[in-house]
Amino acid sequence: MDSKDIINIDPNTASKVRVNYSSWFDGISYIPLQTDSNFLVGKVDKLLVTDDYIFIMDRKISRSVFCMDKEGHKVFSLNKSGKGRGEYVSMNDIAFDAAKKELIIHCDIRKKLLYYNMHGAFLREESVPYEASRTQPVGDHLALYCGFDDNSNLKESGKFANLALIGADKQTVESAAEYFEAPVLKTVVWTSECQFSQVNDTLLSIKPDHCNTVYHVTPTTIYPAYTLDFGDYMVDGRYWEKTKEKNATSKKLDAYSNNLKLCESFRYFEGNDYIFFVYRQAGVVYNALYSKKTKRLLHTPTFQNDMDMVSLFRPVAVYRDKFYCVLEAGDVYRIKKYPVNTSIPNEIMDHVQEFDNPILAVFTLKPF
Amino acid sequence: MLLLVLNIVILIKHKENKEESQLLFEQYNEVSAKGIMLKQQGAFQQAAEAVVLPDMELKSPKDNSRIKLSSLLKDGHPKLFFRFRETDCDACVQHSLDLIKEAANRIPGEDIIILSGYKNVRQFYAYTKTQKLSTYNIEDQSLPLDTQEQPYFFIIADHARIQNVFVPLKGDKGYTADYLSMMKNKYWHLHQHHSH
Repeated sequence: MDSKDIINIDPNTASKVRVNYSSWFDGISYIPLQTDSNFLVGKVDKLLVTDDYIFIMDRKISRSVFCMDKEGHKVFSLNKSGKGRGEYVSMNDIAFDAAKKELIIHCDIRKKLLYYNMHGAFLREESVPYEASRTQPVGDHLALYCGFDDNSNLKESGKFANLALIGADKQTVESAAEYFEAPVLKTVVWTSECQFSQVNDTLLSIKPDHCNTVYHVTPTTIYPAYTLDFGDYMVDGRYWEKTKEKNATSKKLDAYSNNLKLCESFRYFEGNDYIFFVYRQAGVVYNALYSKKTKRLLHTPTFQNDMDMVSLFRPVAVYRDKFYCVLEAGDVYRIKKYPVNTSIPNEIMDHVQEFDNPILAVFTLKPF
Repeated sequence: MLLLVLNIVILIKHKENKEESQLLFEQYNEVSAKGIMLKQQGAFQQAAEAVVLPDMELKSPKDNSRIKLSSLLKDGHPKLFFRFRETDCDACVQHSLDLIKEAANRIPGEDIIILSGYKNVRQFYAYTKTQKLSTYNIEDQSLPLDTQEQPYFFIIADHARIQNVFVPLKGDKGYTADYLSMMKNKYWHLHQHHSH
């Protein structure tokens, strides 16, 4: 890997003062999601934005997938919780096959991919015999993010693969990466539920937890694309040795990382020209934006919302370099009571109700 | 040649031993984590026994109405309660709800009550859309036992006095199934006339 693939991050160079939203963002637009008694989103566990649709996965509360058009109008919702054909016991990821216009739900308990059409009707199911936290089609292949589970059928030379590219048969491993020595319990290492970013039709991007490498996945291979270089504060072998200690817990590991000022990065989203991620050092959380074109990095531990006074820049999806954040309708409803100068349009302010479905706040960056 | 074969055998043995000790280490960690959890839960269960619940207001999913806890208890039948909040361990909540659904074949459905704790009313409605069991939300108040930040079961068979408190153990469905079976035998074996 040559130097152009390294993103140098020194927390000491982060902005020392609160950064105004208006200095990073050109604007925020809003997509209120339609609300009716049969279309109630519990929690946004994953937001998927595509050319024509918005999908929300609500794993725990309604155990449903909600599909809307790009204006937030209901297309369909789907609750197929169950043990039968076309049903999921535990929905742990959703994906969209744009070419076939199919919604794909991954059930990690049944180890199946379930396919539905754009009316929410079940089409077919396929077995995927691997433990995976995330599954995403790339071309006719399937990318898996496996976390640190005991995936013995992805074991090679005594090590376990964290990432795998599965062939069109959904069985054959064609490429694998980010090997770790031994499975680690979720009570020992925390998970940020990292996800694949769809950079384009044939390119996915992901940064696994507890590592500093960003991987790109194509229909033919997985390769390291960037290193998030924190200098002396990289999470490395020292951290993994600590996980092997007796009675290791995530709390103890956090304390260890904080003591050494190790930097953990997570919530990584990659667009065509920009990358967003969060990193944490000694308990302080920094937001970082990186321009792939100019190689510039913006990072700050604190923001000041001088635009709409209520949206939090906490992206849950990226689409064409726009960063999508979830804004609770209740928060917007409450500011109606106060004389706040907000940039949220009147047509939203006038109609919002306290328990409406969330509003998506879409942040557009100022080029840098 | 013999030396080479001997070395290979030693290497294979070493690898096997290493894998075995790694396995033993993982098992030890799992057992010891379970032990700590059981100790904590035992203390919590002891402290919670016989606590009397206040007659709190519960939000019903029907017509946005509210009811009093006492109205659920007035028929005098024992009730199995399952309490969870949105921040609780999801795996524990899900496996408990799955087992409750199975238990509903053996315990009369009207004697099983879910007490959810969603701060956001939309989330409560979204949740109840998926449920067939009686579910009520406690919005603003906490129950005296909520301090553990874990889901739990309890029985009310005598006024509003909590009995047989049980905290599910993460990843151990059998432990919860045993509890539900014992409660069924204890409180509902003489109440077959309730059964559906």
